[in-house]
Amino acid sequence: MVVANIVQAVTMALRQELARDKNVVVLGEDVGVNGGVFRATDGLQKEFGPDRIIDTPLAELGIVGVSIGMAVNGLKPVAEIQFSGFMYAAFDQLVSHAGRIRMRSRGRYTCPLVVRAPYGGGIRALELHCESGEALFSHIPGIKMVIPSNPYDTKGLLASAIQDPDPVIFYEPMRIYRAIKQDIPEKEYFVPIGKANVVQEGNDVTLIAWGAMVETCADAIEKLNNKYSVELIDLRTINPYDAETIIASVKKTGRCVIAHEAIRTSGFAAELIAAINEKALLSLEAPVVRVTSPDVPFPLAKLEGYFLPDVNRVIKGIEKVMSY
Amino acid sequence: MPYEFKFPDVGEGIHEGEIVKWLVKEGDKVHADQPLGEIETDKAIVEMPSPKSGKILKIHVPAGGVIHVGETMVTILEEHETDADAKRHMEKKEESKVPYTGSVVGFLEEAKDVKPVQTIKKEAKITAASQPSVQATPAVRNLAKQLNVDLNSLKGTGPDGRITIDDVQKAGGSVKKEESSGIKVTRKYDFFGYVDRVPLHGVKKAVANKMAESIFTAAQLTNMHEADVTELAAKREKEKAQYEKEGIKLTFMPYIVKAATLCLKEHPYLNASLEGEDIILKKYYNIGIAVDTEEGLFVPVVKGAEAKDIKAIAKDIDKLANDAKSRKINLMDLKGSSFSVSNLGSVGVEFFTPIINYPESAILGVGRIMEKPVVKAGKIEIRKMLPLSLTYDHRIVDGAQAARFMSDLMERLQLCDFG
Repeated sequence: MVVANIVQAVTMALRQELARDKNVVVLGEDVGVNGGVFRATDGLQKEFGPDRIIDTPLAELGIVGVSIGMAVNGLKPVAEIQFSGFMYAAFDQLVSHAGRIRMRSRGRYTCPLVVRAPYGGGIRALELHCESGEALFSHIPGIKMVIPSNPYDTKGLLASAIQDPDPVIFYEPMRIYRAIKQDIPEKEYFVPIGKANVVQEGNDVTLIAWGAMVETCADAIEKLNNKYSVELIDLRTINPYDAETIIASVKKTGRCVIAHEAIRTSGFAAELIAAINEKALLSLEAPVVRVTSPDVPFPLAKLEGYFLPDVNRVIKGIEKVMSY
Repeated sequence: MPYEFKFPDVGEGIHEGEIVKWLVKEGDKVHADQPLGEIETDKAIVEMPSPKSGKILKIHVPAGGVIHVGETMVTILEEHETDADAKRHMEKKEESKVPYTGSVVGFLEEAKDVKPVQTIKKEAKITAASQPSVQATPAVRNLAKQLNVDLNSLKGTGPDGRITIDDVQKAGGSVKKEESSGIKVTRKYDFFGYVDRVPLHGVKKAVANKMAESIFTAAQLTNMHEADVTELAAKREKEKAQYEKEGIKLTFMPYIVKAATLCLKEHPYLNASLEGEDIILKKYYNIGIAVDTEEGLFVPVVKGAEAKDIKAIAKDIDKLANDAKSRKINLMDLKGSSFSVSNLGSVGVEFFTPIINYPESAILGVGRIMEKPVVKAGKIEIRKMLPLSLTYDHRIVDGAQAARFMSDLMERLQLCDFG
């Protein structure tokens, strides 16, 4: 066991997979000599050499495009996009190619590619450095979308993602990159993709979150001080999401709040609400409440406290659904 | 939000001052206008009165320190504010002290302690709000709320034990409704003047519904004819006395009913009704007779008219009309008609457009018999003419069909052919 934060858990998973499988390669801007803008690949180039830890030019479309070529030809590339907001430049490669290789080749080829990117706000960074685009990437068939919320899940999910035969976008919650430390196993373990985690069981209301919002929601529950019995679910995988766990929980509680950093309209909460309506409508005692950011571009540092949902907004959401 | 007392711009080119001494310390209670301290500007030493009543939360500049215009001198927790406000305020201050450098990687928080990996709290607490799962749509839940019905106490009768609107309504029936004040305000005027309101109920309400159903459902139109009943009138005159002896009032109605019944047997589509895609041709001849009463319109039924003679029909009509007028009529006597006759002749009407007694296919309207000049074989004669109006459902009966029925009926009445 070793104490690690989320960034260190990323490094551990990469090192473990690089050592286990010689086909795994890491590429991205400054991942090699520099060790990554957040130090996620620190020391890896020294250990595995410049042929496997590859510094690329500043061109996200190229990074993902090259990775797709590598993946189709048998390698297992793990591409790092410095900030998730830069992934839009590679959108065409993801939509038009990565997600379609399996279908296009009638199953002869798959695209075992992982695209890692820190996402989310709350760290007073600059424009395009705080994006939460998970809903955009959940709308691409053939691509999986994973977001861990703690070091243990980060290591286990990243290992699963690297070994997955299909493309996986791996969003890392930047705000809590170093804010959560856990004692995690050094040896290999996997957290399955597509399985949500019930962080805390409860009977009154289901609270669903992912990424850094899981921490915010846990704080909200603590602040509520047993006023309600809240079931907190960490979704962990956005696509394919774990409908079974969510539906079972909502059928039990009859109430649901979904919190995400992303903006409201067409945010991933909307998809979850649709699933709840389809499968748990008869159990609902109140409309599902969304706690989200407003429908505007991510603001500059001074305003992000007003933009991002915080503990009080999550509590307000819970009160709203409980008092309906 | 605690009040931040900033060094004001007093004009006169003063940009800064020196705190000579503080007269209060952090934690002190102060009231408005109480001197907080002394400030020396380049003009003079002045006392600085407190703008608010409350508690000194923080003194930002120590005695001897220099303060500039716009900078906070003291923070005052106002009287109505709590310690929580103070705490929040101070935390916020701490946060905003972090300098903003515009770094692309922003500021990452460092973990202070190690969190356990598996933090699931398995013991699910049952609170007052916890409820066993009830299967009901939002609409049903809303209704239950309105009727104050506890869904947990109901057993659903819908698919998979789902609680239906009916379940809630049934349960809601036993629930006391909110008591009203008992005062019902009814306006006695409308935009144009005074009005009386008569509640629609009883027979009138039933008739209203029946008429509306008929007129909105059947495609109704009316054929009008005049029958020469000169001979029939003579026959009735002759037989009247005999009937009177038996206590029966003989009108023209028994003759008309009998003749109509005989014609219906030959024209079955007028003794019919429409049910979905099927026309039901009735093999029984029950003739409804419209009777005007004080309560409203009744249509008692002469059952099996085809098997009854004039006298029996006359007896039936007499009895039914009396029963209806005295409200003693049996409910079964009001049901089962297959064709109806409405007589407005007694109140002076000639032709009219009766409304079908739905779902029947036709109704015969009988008008007032009048002596009229009629041309017969080139000569004008005075004849007794009976106006007849037949309304029929054009979905079942065609115009010519109706006309043939009427022509047969008139012939029978004219020739006194009742079987």
